[in-house]
Amino acid sequence: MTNVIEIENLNLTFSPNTPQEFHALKNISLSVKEGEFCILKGVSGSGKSTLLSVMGALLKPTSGKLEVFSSPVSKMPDFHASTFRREHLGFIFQNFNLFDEFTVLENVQTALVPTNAPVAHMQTRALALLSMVNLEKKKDTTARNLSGGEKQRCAIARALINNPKLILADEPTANLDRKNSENVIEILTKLNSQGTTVLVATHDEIFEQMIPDLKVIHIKEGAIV
Amino acid sequence: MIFSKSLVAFLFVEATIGLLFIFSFYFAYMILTRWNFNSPSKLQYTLEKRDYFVSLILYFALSTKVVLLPFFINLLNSLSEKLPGAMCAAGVVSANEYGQILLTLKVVIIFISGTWLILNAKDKLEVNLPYIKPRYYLYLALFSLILLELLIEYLYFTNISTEEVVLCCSALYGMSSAGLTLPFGLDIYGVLSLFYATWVLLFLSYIKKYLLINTIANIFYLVLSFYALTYFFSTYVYELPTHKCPYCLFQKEYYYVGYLLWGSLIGGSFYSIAGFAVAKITKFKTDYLYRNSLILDTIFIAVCTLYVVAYYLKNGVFL
Repeated sequence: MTNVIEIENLNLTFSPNTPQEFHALKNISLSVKEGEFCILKGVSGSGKSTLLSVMGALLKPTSGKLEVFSSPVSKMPDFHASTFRREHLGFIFQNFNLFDEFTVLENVQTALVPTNAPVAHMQTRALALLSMVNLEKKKDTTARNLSGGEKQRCAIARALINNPKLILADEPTANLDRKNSENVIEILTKLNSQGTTVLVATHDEIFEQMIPDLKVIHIKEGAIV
Repeated sequence: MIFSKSLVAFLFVEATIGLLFIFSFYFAYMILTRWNFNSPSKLQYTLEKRDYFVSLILYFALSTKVVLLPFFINLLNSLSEKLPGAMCAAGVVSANEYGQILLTLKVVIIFISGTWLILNAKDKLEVNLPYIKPRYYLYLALFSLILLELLIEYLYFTNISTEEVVLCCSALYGMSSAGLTLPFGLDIYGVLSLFYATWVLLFLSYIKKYLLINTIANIFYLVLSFYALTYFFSTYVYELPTHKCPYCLFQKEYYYVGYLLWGSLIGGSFYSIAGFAVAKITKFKTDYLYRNSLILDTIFIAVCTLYVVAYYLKNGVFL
């Protein structure tokens, strides 16, 4: 199997050469293979969300090599990084990052707007994904009026709208109760069984309890341990 | 020394652009000597961030430079009120030996600035910034020219006397056609014939995609147009056979048509030259630049010809 993510000696320092200098990632080297379900496990402040952001081309490292699908995402100019994210990655955030005033359907469709896809196609695709995450009955409800679990399922549907081959999820179960967490993990597991590579940053034990073939990468104080 | 509010504003902006170029020089030097896109080193990541920063500064500085050229022409026209003997920018430009050099240098800088802006836009379309070194070599050329321009601007404006009478367009350009020194030993009708023939060549070379010929013809067209406009077409704008001036066209009495005429002519030549340069440096097709060039060249020739035709229809004779 080929490597979807390949990292060598990656470092990230915030506010370098200032009194606030903070070495968030230290000599990180790791790889994630195609089709793997992988979690980055560590306590709060260990650097797992930062590492996930670097992998998703949301942050640039200070040094080191990072390739996602053999593309040097850490070196991509912003314009290319945006295109890369849109075409290859699905992001799921801890705080959902939904538009509160938009309906569920509109929230899911928004990720397709920059692609200039026909409205009919956007709607068909969004409805199919809402059906997959069991949220089609709430399609006309504004995001503000959803429960936490529903918001996260809506966010998952949005992350999948571009049919990504890699899903990066940052603490997707942190704001959910046990039942909703299980729902989210079931959706992610189903996607993984269909060939999507999944990488989750989490400190939640539930992933290890529910997924038998899980690859766990431990991160502590910005370094892989 | 001459003084006006517009002049102070102009010099302030010019000096600011000069300072931005000086500020960028260290980073440009580092990028030219240390750039290696494939390196994962800390230095390389720093250079990539610096390039983004410097490119943004240069983008705004050079865009401002392009806008400053018509402002400079307007400034020269407004300064003519303060110089005895001057009726338009011609008198101000000829007030000392630096005026014409400064104007020519400004046009050259505009051509290189425009080319840099296009090259920068093309480079940003690529993931690995393959044209970064040509961009910074062009920056070095611009840096030298802009420092030279600042020096000449200082010499020019500090050496304009408000007491000495200057020669203006009536003396500089107002002689009869018979006494003119025109290029290639031609008379004005020979220049006009070549001018129209060159436009036909521009059109055909664009259609046939002979782009090198188009660029060479555009340079030729620029030179011929200067003479054709100054010594023939301008007389139809002024409706006076003895008034031959490339600068009075910028005045209100003539509806500021100089900005359209000179703008389209310089723009037309620029797009063709930049199209050739960018095609040589990059892998991009630059047909659209040649198309812009032809559109602007055609606007120039059409407006010039329109003045002659309109005069004939109104008066039944040519000048």
